[in-house]
Amino acid sequence: MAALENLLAAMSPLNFLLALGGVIAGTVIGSLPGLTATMAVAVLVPITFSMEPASALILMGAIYTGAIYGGAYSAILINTPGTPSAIATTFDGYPMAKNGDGDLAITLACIASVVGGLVGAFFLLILAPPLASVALAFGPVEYFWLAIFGLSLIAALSEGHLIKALMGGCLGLLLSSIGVAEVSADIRLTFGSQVLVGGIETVSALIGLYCVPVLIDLVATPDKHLKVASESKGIRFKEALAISWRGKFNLLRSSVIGTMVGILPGAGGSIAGLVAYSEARRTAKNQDQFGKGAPEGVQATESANNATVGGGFIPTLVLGIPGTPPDAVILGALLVQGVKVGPNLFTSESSIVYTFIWGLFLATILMLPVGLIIGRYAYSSIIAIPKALLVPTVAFMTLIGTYSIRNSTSDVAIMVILGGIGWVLGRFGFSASPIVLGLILGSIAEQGFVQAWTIGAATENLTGMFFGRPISLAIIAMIVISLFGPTLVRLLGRGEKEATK
Amino acid sequence: MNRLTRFGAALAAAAMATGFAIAAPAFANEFPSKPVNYIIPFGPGGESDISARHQQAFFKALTGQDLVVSYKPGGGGAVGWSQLNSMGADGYNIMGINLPHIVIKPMQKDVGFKTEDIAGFSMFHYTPDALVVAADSPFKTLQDFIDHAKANPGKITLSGSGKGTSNHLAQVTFDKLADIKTTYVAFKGTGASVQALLGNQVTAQWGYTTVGAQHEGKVRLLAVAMDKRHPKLPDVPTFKELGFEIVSGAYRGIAVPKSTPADVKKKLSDIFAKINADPAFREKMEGDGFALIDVTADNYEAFIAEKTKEYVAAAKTGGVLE
Amino acid sequence: MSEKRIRDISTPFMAAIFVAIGAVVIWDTTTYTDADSYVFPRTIATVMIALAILLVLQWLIGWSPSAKDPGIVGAQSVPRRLALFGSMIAAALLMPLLGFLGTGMIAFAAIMLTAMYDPWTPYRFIVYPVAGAVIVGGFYLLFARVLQVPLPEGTWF
Repeated sequence: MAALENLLAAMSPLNFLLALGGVIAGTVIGSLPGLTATMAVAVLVPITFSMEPASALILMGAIYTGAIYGGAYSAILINTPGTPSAIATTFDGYPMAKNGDGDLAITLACIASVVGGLVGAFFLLILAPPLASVALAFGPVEYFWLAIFGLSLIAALSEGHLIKALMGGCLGLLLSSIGVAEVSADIRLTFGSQVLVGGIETVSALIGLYCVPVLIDLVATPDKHLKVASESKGIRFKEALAISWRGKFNLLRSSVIGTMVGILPGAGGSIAGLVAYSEARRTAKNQDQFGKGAPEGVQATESANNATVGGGFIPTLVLGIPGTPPDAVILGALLVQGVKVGPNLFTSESSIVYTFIWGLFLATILMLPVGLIIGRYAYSSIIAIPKALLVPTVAFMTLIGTYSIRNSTSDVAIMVILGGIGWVLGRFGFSASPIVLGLILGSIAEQGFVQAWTIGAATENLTGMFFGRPISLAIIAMIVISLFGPTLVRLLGRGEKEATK
Repeated sequence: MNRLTRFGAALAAAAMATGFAIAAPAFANEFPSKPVNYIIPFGPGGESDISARHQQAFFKALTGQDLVVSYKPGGGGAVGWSQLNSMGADGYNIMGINLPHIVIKPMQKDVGFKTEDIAGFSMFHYTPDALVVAADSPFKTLQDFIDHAKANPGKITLSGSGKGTSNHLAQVTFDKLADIKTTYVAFKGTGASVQALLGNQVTAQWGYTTVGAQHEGKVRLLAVAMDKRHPKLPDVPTFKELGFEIVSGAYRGIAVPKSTPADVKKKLSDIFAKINADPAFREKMEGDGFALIDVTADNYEAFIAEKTKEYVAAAKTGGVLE
Repeated sequence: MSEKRIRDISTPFMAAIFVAIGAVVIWDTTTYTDADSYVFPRTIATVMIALAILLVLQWLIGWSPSAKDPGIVGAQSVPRRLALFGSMIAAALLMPLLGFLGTGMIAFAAIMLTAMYDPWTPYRFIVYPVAGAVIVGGFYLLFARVLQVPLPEGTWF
């Protein structure tokens, strides 16, 4: 039994230690805003040169998966996604923490991440070569519609003021086009300033728009940062397990969404989280609770973003096209080691790949105890630290984290200024999330649109390009359902009531 | 306050642990006596990153010091290059540079750096442009491609990495030489452009020889823009053989901040020249489809001047420059 | 009711700002050489201006969904807010001059004073600054040495 052999190889003491250490380091790194999984993996590459390819992969995969989970801590506790994957975690995680359920939210996030990670790894194990074709079936126009689907979430996040939310979304889309255009050679909206040539870096914008307003409001009152229940309830594991069991369909659906989005190169954990959140909200009975601390929101995002880890490895290992930025680093490391990626990797050199996949399972399972322990510590630290230390610590972390993303002091200034703008806009009813959605999805939407338009125009089939491809039509249908579904249901419901009268 | 003290103690312990971790290096006077930062002004996974990763191990073996690769993406490299000269000029900060980027970008608009401000000390490889089709494409030869393009002007779509880039300029140049009209579709990086090719979103791709090496069996190269055939791809003809004068590609090298002392720059140039001469390094790079060149600190400027002429001419034809 | 009136005027004011941003974007797009570059920003800017006009119309006819009351006044301290924002901006600007460690220490101290509501007991007087120095120093070492981030050294020292 080759499978058993590889499983045992993954369990070797060295690989076990690498998986454990990787998950711990990844979780800590992911929880610090500005330190991304990409950076953590990149720092490790030289160390992995002296390792067996499978061990190197296990270490990098463990760090990666830990970092995606760690991003939930800061999202829940200080409203700042530690990694872009955790954007949608802030929507309900932070309200939960404010209501005194931060410990519960972190435990839920941990369970959801483990489920998502396992589902992603399962697909990687069983179906990688066939699923890789999904990545190829997605052309520019599909990416465009996927981005529009992500943007349609703006309507759900509008908190009753759709026009303002849409204006915020437009502002975010415009912010995303600042700097040198990715696929055309022009330099846009810099107004002669060199600071803006590099564009607005997404992670620093997230830190600015989400974290700085929280800090500004924190110093304004002597109140405690988070509401805390009078007696400590521990990690509330049983409670979280019960909620997770109730939400099992949500968890599974979100994990599958996460895997599929993870397979699409360039889409990544943030979009996976947003799509899963949107679907969870659409199908939920308690829709009005979303955005105010619905556990389902945290579960959906966290299971989806961890599922992208396994999903992202599929095109990376089968096609040699990295699914996500950390995958790109890992792919580079593998090339240097002389490992040829491709479908053959799953047959001729199968021991490397299968040992790695089992290692990924192991790392994901280890994330449960590790995540619960670190999460407990993070939570108790955040509520124990007096405000006079918490605020400067978080502020300092935003500065050093933003700088480190691409070693740029301009990014730090942009981050703080965006934070100020975000705070002011927030006072006038323009919330941060639509702006962030626009910013994140802008370049995907624009590139997809321009490429699809160019190809469509060249082949003289623009309508067919945008509205004649099956996957596009399916995504368009999802957009229509999520935008107008509730209205349709209400209309139908009213019709039924009148009929029964 | 008990918790607070505990929190403080934990942080202090963490700080001390990191302190120990650093207490190792630096007594030798010889350069380099500590790790060298190697900044890639692009994201990970691209050709710049992979070649830097190849150098990493050889640098360590040669000097005993680490070469620390980090990424500073943005503005098609402009974010990195505009800050290069404000970095520490002691030889411990080096940055990847790319042609045609460092020539074309500053000519379009003020991007915060000028071509002549970049103190390159090595150009060590290039990825020759190549016309690539999927393995199941009906085009078997370059002539098939040209015939189809002549019969269907503008209808052939070609993916490539970015605009104003080597891929784009190659498309413009080849269209002119072969007297055909094709449509160029810019993607973000070679990875995305290959994805579009393999998914049949486009007819063909203007890619690099590296695409042929890394996606063996799934793609077919119709021709490569080199003087001689690539050792890894002996069956692929050059454009020259077929009668088209194109030798082009994206050239990559390394630069230091302008005020770095000349002797340190010379030492770096020597180190990287030695890495480039190492047969094991050459074999790895060529196996991945790169083509090595040996431009050092001494002939860097002459090389840039020569290439600038070619690129500017092509960019003007392509409408990238006015 | 003065607060309500202020918020009422804020709607056309914010709409005007968004229209202005949109106009500036459209003006900037006229300088691009490549059609691929201006299609997207120009379309979005136009949509944004249209939305802003719609917002004003909605406000004129007095139909507006009830906005969440931000509750800016009361026991909340505006000076502290400004001090926090100012400290962070100052830190961003001083970083290239003072180096990261120095800037970090100063910013930490300034923000700590801004966020301090409790009285200064001798215990706090000693523990807080020490904790601050350890946190800043520890993160500095973590980033600069372990993660090998080239943090700015500063040109003044």
